[in-house]
Amino acid sequence: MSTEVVPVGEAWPPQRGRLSDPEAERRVLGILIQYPELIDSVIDRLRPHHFQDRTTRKVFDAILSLYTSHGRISYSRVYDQLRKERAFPDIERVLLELTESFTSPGELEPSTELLMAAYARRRLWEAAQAIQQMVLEETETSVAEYQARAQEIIFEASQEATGLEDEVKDLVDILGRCYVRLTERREGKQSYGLLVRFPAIDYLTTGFKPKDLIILAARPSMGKTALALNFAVNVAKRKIPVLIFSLEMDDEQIGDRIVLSELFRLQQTDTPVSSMEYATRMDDAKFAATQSIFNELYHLPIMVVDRRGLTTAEIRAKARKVKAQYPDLGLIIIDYLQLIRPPRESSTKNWALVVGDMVREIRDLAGELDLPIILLSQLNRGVEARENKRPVMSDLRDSGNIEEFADVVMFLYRDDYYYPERAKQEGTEGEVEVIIAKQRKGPTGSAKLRFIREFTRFIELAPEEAAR
Amino acid sequence: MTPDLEVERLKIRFIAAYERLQQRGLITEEEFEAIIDLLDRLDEVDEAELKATLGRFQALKKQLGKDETT
Repeated sequence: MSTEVVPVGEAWPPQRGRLSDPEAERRVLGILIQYPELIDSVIDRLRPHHFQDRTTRKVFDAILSLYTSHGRISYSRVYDQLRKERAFPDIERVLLELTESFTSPGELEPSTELLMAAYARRRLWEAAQAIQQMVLEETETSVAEYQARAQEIIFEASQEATGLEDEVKDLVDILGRCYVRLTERREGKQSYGLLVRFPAIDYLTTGFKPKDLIILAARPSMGKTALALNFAVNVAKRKIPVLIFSLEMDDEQIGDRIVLSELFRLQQTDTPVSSMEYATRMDDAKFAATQSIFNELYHLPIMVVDRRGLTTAEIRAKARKVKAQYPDLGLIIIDYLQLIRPPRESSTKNWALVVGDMVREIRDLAGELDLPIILLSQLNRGVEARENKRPVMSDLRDSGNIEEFADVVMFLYRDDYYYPERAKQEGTEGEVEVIIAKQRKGPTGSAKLRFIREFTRFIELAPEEAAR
Repeated sequence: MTPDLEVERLKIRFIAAYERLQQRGLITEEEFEAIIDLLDRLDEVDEAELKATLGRFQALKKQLGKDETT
């Protein structure tokens, strides 16, 4: 019998039986040729490369050719196809063996599973070889890059081996899940999306949805990072883990900002602590009050990665690792897009395309990890040149296809930044417009918040202010 | 093994035998394809058609058998 095994590299392990299943491969083919009406049940997941044996792979190729050309499938036709393709000598013997390979068509499903499982093991083994080779050849420059690339290789191997069986979903199943979520929301057990505890924003978005990419964009000094950190704290206070990639500020700066924004709560107490006092010295009472804030914050499940120059591959690798450790990870914040290092091979590509690729990869990561990702982004200077400086979607256009890939696009706009005198006269100092310029699953619109710059803290406006 | 599969095995052997005739130039590619088509549609063809088509090549096949033994 022709069971020539295609060696993968030179060090094909001796226990290769575990990496291939020639009997299952022959059983599948024997059944498919004899019962061609069963092909539809496996055609969406079975691919020629799933067959390890070169001969059986050619037979499967022949079956596929006949199937795709709507030709009749039978032993005679497969013989003819193989003969015309000069696939291999001794077609007669191979096909005769296929007729003896199975006892019942009921063996198709388990045999398909067996050969795909062998393929999955083979892919993982190849991935391990590739990682070994990468490390020995020193193709990457840092350990972090090795880790990122290694995870990438393993991920690709397992993704490919998983196949496409879950791509087609029955509406009944989909509606079933929708109904469960509906009843959970009705009973207050779950919100539609992840609420950030700013009612004006939550009202517009009904919470950030899992798998969504949310772009939070503004010109510098509008409060992007502050708002994102406020979101993070509000989410983490509900014991939902949050992961922050800070490509600009280091971990202590992030920590200080979080503490400062919470110190704002002490302003209405007998022991208010100013940002100046926090940065310099304070008396015992204020120190005790500040300690109490620290004690509250210690328990928050917030994780920070503060390495500069991360690539999307490294961000993905770290995010996967954290998700594996904290399966209920609920939010990722990346601060910010323009500081993500593009891959080396992109140096010859158009910048907008490179950025577009990075944004797409981050959106895919949100989908893979099943959580919302808030990606902060700068806006180009075009905003400054306009009379109305409120950002619009076209301000994102120089940065690739951000608007195309994003599920939600939020802009921040502060009138007092551009027109301080006018804001003073109108009493709108510190007001920030959060403009939802795009939302795939909800309306667009804007919400107003107040930015307490000293504490990098956003608060809701009083009703009469909001109504202005 | 089911009777259906026995028939399929017989067809495979037939096709292989005629392929050898074709490789020796004793029948043309078109004639060989006609045989494959006939065997593939065996359920649909009547005995007369079968004899008419295959009969033409039986002598060749017997001749080939003699050649192979001598």
